[in-house]
Amino acid sequence: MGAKQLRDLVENQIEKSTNFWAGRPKMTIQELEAVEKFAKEKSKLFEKVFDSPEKIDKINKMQNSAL
Amino acid sequence: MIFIFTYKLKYIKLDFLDKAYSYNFEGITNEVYQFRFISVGTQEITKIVSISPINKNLNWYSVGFGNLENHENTISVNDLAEINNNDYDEVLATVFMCILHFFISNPNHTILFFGNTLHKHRLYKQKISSNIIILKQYLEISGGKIEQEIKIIEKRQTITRKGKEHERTIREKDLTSFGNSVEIKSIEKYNMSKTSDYQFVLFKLKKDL
Repeated sequence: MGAKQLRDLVENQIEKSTNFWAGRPKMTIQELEAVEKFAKEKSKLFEKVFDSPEKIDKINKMQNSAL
Repeated sequence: MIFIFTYKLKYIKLDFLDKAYSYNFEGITNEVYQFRFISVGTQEITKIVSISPINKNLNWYSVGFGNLENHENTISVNDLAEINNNDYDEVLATVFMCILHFFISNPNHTILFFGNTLHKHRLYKQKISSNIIILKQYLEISGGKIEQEIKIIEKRQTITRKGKEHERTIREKDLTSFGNSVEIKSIEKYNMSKTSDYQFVLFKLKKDL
């Protein structure tokens, strides 16, 4: 039930978006590269949190217990 | 009576995500999921949402969003932009739609979410809390703390509102100041009465979906 609702929600949004974006220019390679650079800088900020197997294991346990 | 209650609940549930702008999934480049949308208001602002890996062992991804800007042919994403249409609800609803879109093909992944300034971080948590019923339909939400104190850098910005220039101070979180030892102190189920403690928020698709 929930999965179907989620798929419907995303599919409705995609349908709405397809109409909206039809005929508009695609992102340029330079724009895609700029987004990629931004995203990687953003991810880097938290990479150090996972810099050892012990930390990864601890985080995994903390996350699972919070679910 | 029951009918009215059910109807209202359904109406409220759909409200927040319905505000989302029409986004376009631009594809995946070097593992970065890219989405684009246009914020509409006094001006049209092209915004992007990126979702990129932080750690592949645990499948943690970071979400970022900002204005796509072109200054003298240099293209960049600005997540400290002074230009906006005061459409925080619409922008955040779009970001959440992009996250849900991502989860359709990555149901076991985790998204890490944080604001890069104190103001935005508080605002995002307020928005998460005020839309928690809707978000919890699909997502497991947790809040986390870091052992180390996050340094704050104050930046002065000049902004123009209604033709007048104003000075403002942005209190940006300096996550680059961590040095070599950063540790997550705790992760717990998102508790609306404790959000001021959370330095980041995690989203995971609900298991029963």
